[in-house]
Amino acid sequence: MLKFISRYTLILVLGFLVLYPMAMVFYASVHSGGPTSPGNLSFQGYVTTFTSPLTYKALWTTIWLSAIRTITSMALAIFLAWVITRTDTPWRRGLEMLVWMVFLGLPILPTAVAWNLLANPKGLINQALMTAFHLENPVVDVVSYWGIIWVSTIFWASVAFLLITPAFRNMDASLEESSRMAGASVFSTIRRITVPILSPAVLGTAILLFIRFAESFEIELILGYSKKIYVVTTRIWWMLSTSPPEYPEAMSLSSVFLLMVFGLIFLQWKLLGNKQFTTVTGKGFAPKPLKLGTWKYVTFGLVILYFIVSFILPFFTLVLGSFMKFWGLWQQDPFTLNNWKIALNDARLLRAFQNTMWLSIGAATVGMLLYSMLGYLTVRVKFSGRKPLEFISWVPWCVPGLVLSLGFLWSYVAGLPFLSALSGTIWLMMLVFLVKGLPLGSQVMRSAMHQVGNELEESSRVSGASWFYTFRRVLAPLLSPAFISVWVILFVLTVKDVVTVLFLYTNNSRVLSVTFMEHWLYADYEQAIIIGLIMTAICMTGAFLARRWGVREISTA
Amino acid sequence: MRKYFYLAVLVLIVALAACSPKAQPGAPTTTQSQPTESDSWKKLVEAAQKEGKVTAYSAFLGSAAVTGPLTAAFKAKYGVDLEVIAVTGAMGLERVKSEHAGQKYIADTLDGTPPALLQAKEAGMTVPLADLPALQEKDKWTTSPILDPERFVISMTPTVLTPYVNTQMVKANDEPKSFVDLLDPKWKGRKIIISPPKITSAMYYTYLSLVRNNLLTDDYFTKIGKQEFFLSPTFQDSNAALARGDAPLHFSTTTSFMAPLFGRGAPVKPLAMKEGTLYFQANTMTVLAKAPHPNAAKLFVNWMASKEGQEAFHKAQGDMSYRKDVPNFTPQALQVAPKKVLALPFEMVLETDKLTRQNFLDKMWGLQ
Repeated sequence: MLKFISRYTLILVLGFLVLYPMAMVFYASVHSGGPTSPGNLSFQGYVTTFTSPLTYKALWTTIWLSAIRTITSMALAIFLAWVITRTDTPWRRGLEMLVWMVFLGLPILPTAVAWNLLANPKGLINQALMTAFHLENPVVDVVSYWGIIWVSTIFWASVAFLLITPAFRNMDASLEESSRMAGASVFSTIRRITVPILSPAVLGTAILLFIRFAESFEIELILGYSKKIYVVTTRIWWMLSTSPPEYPEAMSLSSVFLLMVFGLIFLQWKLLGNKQFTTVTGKGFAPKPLKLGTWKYVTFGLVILYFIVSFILPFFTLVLGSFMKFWGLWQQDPFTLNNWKIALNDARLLRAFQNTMWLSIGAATVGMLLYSMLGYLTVRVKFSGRKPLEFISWVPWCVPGLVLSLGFLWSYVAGLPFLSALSGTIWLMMLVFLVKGLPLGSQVMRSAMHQVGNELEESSRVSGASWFYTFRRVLAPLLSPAFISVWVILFVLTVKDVVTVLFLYTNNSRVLSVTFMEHWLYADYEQAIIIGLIMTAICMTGAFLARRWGVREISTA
Repeated sequence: MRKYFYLAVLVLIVALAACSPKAQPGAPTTTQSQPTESDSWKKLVEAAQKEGKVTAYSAFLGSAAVTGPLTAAFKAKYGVDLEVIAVTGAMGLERVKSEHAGQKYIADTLDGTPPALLQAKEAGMTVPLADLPALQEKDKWTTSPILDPERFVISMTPTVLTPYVNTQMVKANDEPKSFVDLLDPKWKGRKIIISPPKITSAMYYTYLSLVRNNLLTDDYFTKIGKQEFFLSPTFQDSNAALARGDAPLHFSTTTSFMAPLFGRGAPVKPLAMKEGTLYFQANTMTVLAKAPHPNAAKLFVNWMASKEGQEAFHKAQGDMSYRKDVPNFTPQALQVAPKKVLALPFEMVLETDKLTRQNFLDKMWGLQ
């Protein structure tokens, strides 16, 4: 009875926290004045939006750009994961950390601007190429579709790498070896053994990535907007930036996401529905690396090249920018230490630093406990609330981040008194990040639990261990690589998220990411970069500590 | 390896702690300097000092170059902390509306564009400012800072709108002399405009003033609209794009947001066009009803309207005030010598009727 109540209470609480902001977004789409202004029920927003040719153009651009970027990012991530976990490429642990650094490294907004400065027609790369090869015209122009694809791919491949690596690492090589010994070719083994075993993690990550690309905003704004490359998110931003903001139109356009995410959830259920993906069983497994011969130096070089292009180049541009009087302007005597003096003497910095630490550690830790519980309930426990719970866990990704932040404002600040009492506090911001991290956290933990065989738990329970003891001694150690990976991702995303809490902070709850955004709004780019570099230092410190702690846990399990 | 890692963390923490600001004495230097001081005002000042702080949702005070000097000057004068939350006009308004709907009040003052503040006024979220001493010094102002008959919304700064060029990319001989020159195909794809061209945008006000003064026609904007532009999302970003040389010419921007970039070496120059240069009141400010620090809020807005506050603000911003006793801090190279002054009356600034707006958007964008 207690179990029944606790399970359904969880569904109710989560359902409320997640669905209430979504309901406000929907309400805004059918209310002529926006939720906080006088108005009446009207579907004019839908009519205006869906009779405009720009909507369909933006929608089509969003879909094909997201699809291509998903394919390119997943291909790159799978290659990196394969090299690092399944081959004898030298210095693999070091290489893995380098890929992590790409994700941990830099907030996406200044990274996109860094690429703009590097590879626009007048950028440093073109200048170098034109000088070196005596060319008259620039070779590359990152302010284009391919530029958006390029920058998105090299950044998000690192995230996909983090998400699929545990699955690659946990895969028992003996399954592939058995296939080969039974006479199957390499291709057949990949098709019939490797791909199906990895499909929950790969497909799940691909779907997450597709949604993230569809929601993506910063890269498209920096590298597409000046040339009228509109995607759905930049169109929504366009509508919200007009005066007065076109809330009904923007919110009705957001409903497209709702349909798209529902479609993807359905697709995932259909594809992965009742299949078995267990790779970690009671038999023990031996992830033996594939011997590449001299090719191992090629794979080593390719990963290093990836690191240089995706991290060193933009990082160097940003560090340089933090010492420039005007970022991107090569004037006489362009450098100064003044930017750092101003930034480090800013009275708001220390409090923002402290708030950021509280918020990111809190949201990642509480979030992971919650998401693990959700993952367990939806994979291991047979009860009628499984599907609704799984459905709820996807919902925060049904609308773009910018719209979600408005949903939180309308529901949590303007809404019910017990929530508005938290208004302006760091607790409200933490609650928001718990909701926002739900799709990623619960999805990855579900994938990880799918891979762990039931017999391990059953053996422990048959031997007399309690459920909690079994969870702590059997499941938790096996799930810890995925747990730690997702903890780090949530920690980093919370540190770097500049949109979600934009409407919710006050002076007392200001975090580094909003300080970054405040500088950005005023074109104080040099100050913003410095805040971005401090955020990078925090992300890397957190990740190193988590990995060290995590590795020790695994080895003592 | 581990040793170096912990050392690095320690260095970061020590650096942050060392660089954190020293505690300011914060003692007020005086509270006796209001020229029209009355007992009620004295009481308000005392009450404000007890409240101890004021929270401003601000579209104009949030840059690092402005917030620091302003906060320090206000604290030194009254011992009251100024907390600035940087917002865009629409963002600030939505935050205030939500806080009022949830009855959880955080902001004391709001500044931004006129339509946003007048919406706040219409929703009953502002208070009248007629009793502020600095606003009663009528002889000190070249243009009255009070914008509405009920005296809820004020504006103390002229917004100057004009085209700008990047001086490294455009030679003096090639500078356009008139808006008509911008139709020349050589500027196709090389002009920056702020997009979306909302009704509070530079583009919209330029359109209004030129067309309403019969200096240009709708046909001109239709032709301009068919050209390619370099689009930029905000004033600040578009100015930075011009300074970096992403494009050589900005169709219409403000000197206020250009001055901080000029101070950092931006090679930019305003153009005085044949048709005229636009001056109008666009930076508006108000005190919010149900402000958690109502006295501190009024004290702050009054100080902002005083000679001292205007000097502190415009010196930091690098532009000019409507107060006669405040010097023009606009850098010499950014001061426009207008061939004609186009004053846009405030009623016209507020002209947000759907037809005008739709007409403008149709001219510029075709599909809107």
